[in-house]
Amino acid sequence: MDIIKFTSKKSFSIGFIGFVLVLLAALPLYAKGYTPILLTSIFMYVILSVSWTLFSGPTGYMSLATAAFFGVGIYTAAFLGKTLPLPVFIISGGLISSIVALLVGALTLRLRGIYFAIFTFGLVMLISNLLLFWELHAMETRGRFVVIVDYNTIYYTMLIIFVALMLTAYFIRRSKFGLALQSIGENEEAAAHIGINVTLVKVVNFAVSAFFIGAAGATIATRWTYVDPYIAFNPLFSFLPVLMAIFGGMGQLYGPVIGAVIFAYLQEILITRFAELYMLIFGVILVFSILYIPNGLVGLIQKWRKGGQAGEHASN
Amino acid sequence: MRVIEGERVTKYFGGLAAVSNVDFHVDNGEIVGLIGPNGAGKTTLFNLISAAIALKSGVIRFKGEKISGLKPYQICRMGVSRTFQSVKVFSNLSVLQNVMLGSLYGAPAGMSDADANSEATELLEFVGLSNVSMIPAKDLTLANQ
Repeated sequence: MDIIKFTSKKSFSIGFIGFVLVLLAALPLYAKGYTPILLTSIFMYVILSVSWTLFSGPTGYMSLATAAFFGVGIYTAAFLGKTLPLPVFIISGGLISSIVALLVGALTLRLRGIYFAIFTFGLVMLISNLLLFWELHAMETRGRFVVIVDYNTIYYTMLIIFVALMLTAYFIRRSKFGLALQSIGENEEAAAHIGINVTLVKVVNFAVSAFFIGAAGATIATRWTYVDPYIAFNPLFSFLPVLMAIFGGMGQLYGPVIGAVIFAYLQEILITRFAELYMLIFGVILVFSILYIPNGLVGLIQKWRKGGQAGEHASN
Repeated sequence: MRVIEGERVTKYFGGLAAVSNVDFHVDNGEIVGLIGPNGAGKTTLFNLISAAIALKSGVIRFKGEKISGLKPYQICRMGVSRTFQSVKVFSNLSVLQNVMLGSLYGAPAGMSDADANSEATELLEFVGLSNVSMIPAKDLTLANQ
């Protein structure tokens, strides 16, 4: 009985996901101009927030390096975009971000808690200022132009990165690698003593998450057309994904997706209607959501689904 | 045969010699207890064996092979396992997942997901926890943890 119910529910959700994907893939056929551009930016936030959760969710390491990997992707597109074809420079953006993550991860993943957070944030500032220094002294120009790409192409690229990321995240969660990640978050010392190579697991996961962030950066750079280190390494891109993931809830894969979609859309509305008040409204929503729904929207949905079933097991 | 042995094992915490020039060995088939007053360095010695902390000098061998200097996960895969004084379960993972982790990563060759699952299920049956295998480990009573 339960099994039948389970499989029919599962095939329903697969069907639903398939339907949404077809709708999204066909979007440029029935919606022109603004809609694909808006969805590209929503997808970008979804990718950032899911990638952040991919690493920081299970392990409990609070990474603020998102803006660093994002910026590395953006600058890769700026350097390589004019000479190389689109897929090549986007994958390069991802790979270079991954390499940075491998190096930084191997160096700093021994730091815990607040120290790791601060260091990763320092990384954003460090790369940004190094680039600026180099641009001003060696190139004697600040900023650069990025190759311009048709907005439908950008939309499809973002969609592909999004789908690839969701598949990766789904399989990692289900695999023994995902279980190892969770055990590290629960208790790193015990995880090491149960035979898990904690350093390797953390660093590899950090690099995987950085790959998607970098690829998203390389893609969106083509829409921004002009970048300089302050635009590319904007610290807001370190914090927004965290907020979106917390707002959506990290317990389920779809949590950061919902969080990012709502926040990105909200940002778009607020910025166009109340340009001066937008950060203020944003902040108020955030404070209230952290105070009243600490497990995010996912927690709220699960609570509502379970109804009175919660607290069934005696905790001791 | 000597299963585990240590030679002149030493560890300082600052200026305090927690474990100083300790020689010990455990033979095949032996069950050995380690006693001493609070602060004598019993836990430190265990931490040194499992590489939770690094030793200052001396050598620890397992079945004749040097294990001091290896990482905790490497020592675990060679067959040395330990528990902690305060129970350290992965609280938000299910009871089954807690046991599966050991099967998945603890063995030198590693194990497929299905094998690990069935081994963990058997083990839980053996200790009488199969009826609670799906609940988060933090919801177990302290004794069952």
